Amino acid sequence: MSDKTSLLTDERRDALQEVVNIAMGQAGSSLASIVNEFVELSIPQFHLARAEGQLLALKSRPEHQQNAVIIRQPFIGQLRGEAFVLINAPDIRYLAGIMGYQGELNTPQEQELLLDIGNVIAGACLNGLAGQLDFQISYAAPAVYSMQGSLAALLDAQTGNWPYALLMEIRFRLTEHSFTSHLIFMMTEDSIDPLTAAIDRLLSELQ
Amino acid sequence: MITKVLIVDDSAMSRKIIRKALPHEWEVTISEAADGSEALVAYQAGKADVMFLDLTMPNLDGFAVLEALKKQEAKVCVFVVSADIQPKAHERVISLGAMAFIKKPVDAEILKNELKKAGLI
Repeated sequence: MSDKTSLLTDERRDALQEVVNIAMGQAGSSLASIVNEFVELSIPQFHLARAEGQLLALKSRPEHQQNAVIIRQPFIGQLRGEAFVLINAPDIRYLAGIMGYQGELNTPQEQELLLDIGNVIAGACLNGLAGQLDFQISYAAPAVYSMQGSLAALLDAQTGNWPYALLMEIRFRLTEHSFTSHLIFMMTEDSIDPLTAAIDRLLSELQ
Repeated sequence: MITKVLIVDDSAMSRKIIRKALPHEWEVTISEAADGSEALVAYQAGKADVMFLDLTMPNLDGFAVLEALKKQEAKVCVFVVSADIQPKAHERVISLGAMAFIKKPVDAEILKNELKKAGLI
């Protein structure tokens, strides 16, 4: 299998960074509307790489050893894969508090909250990418993995299905709290060529 | 009179998009800056009558540039061009003295209308 990560030249990387920035601006705005606070956005850091290397690096981060909440959003169409949103459990409790949930969350409340947040972050970002790059994508039902679930086992199970990962690290800062979320798009090999072709179309329109 | 335009954005593609969206009939000389610090240096060097300013940038972000320009009572007309589409971001940049907020991706017609409203074309 050839390694397609080298297709991301500096020029394409700059273009994809800008597309991701715009998509995350939409995600930040959606998040602001559900938490009813101004969300300060950072520049998203992102890497396109073979999935196994990316996930190895992610799993080694101490904050994600035991504590990550994972929301999984499959997508199909011209780009095909699964989006995973990783947020740390204490950040979820903070968001629950400012969204008006009182005390300990019961399971249905927690599911609802996580699906909302996952939809805001993954959905807005995927819609933003698809809109700007002129892709048609649609979504299958999302799923939430419990805080006790093993991040390592879940991600390991994905690398066979989806060999490439676009890993994005996004820092959101609210008035009194900042948190980092990881958004991973696991993609099929045949999604990479349309992705680079779409970036090239954007760039060629500027010549 | 030829207007000196400064385009401030950390993305080379975004700077190109803004360049391309400027009205053809507008007589301008264009300079570019890749972050807020470069923008202030370029402003001090007299390269900006009009500034198109991104918000989310390394080193010094767009909000900090607006604050610095306001503090020194700078004579520059700033259009914020940003992906941060929260209404509060919009309000904040206007309160810091920006002429208008233009959301990304930039639409050439919207940009032209904002320039007309500001009496620049």
